[in-house]
Amino acid sequence: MDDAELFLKFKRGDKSTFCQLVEKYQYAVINTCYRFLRNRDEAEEAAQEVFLKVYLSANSYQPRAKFSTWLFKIVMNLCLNKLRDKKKYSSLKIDNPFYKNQIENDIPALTESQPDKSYEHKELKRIIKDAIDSLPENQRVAIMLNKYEGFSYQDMAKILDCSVSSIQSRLFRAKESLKKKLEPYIKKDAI
Amino acid sequence: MKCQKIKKRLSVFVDGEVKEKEKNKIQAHLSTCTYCAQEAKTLFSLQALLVEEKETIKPSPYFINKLEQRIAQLETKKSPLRKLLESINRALVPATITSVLVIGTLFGNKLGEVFYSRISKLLNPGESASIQETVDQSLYLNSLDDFPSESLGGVYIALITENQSSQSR
Repeated sequence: MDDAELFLKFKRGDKSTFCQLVEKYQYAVINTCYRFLRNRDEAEEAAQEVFLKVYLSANSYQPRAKFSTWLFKIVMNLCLNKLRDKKKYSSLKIDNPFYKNQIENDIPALTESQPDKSYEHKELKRIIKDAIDSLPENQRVAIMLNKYEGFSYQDMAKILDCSVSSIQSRLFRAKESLKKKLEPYIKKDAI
Repeated sequence: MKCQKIKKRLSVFVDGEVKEKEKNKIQAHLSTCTYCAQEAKTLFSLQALLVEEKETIKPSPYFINKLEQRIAQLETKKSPLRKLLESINRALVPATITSVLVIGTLFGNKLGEVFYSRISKLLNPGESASIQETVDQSLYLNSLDDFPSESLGGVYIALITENQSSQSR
């Protein structure tokens, strides 16, 4: 049974199928939220909100749409709203010494899960993360959906409510920018 | 295809989003142009770097339990308006059936009256009166008011009436 069928079963009252979908997508949803919000707790809370929204807005789901496309449309809208709120909030408190301490405390918490990784490896991850974070929002979203969630251009266009050619140009510009920023780490002889 | 045009399409090519015909054209160009071939290599390397070095986190073990609790809370905290709408929804089916029956009966009655008045207008007055009489008799059951004279009841009634009249004399 595919995702759409499971969700239609849930719409008809079978709540167990909703849990099956949560189990299947929780990992992808949390990680997408994390790539936007860059905080584990906030990402988990956002993912909870996403699934609650899915639960409550089941009636708005049209079976002709792919379930994953519909789900990630909710993820994108929620994360972008949260990110905008966060930016507004952080611009107000960036000079607050308490907030600076909080950021410093957050750094080891994020890296604790990979204690065996070398410092260089961690550093490379941080550089890539920073390079992606520095992209304009629409290019960053395109990179995340394509490279990390594996969505096709067609599905991305549906999620982001734009044309396929717009997706192509966002990805082209994002890659041009990342090529410059990550030039020392790109292996020139690889295919 | 010229290098300029190829460069614009390389990103789509690396993502595997070009059609077979275009893919063949690009591959043919890459086998002859070292500049574009190097550009394609760079894009493939960038893709590998992004995917291999992606940072991932695991959901907490209580993620689903927490979500189930929040859903349960939502279910119990349904707004009075929503409860009202649900009860209206439940009552809607019997109410609709009753309304259909009542409207159907009234409409049928009205239709009968209209039909009868039109028929009466088409017939001459004598026929109309006899139809009226038949209808009245069948509708009001006047024929059952008296016993027919040949029946046992009729004979019995005649005897009683005769006895009463002779006693009174």
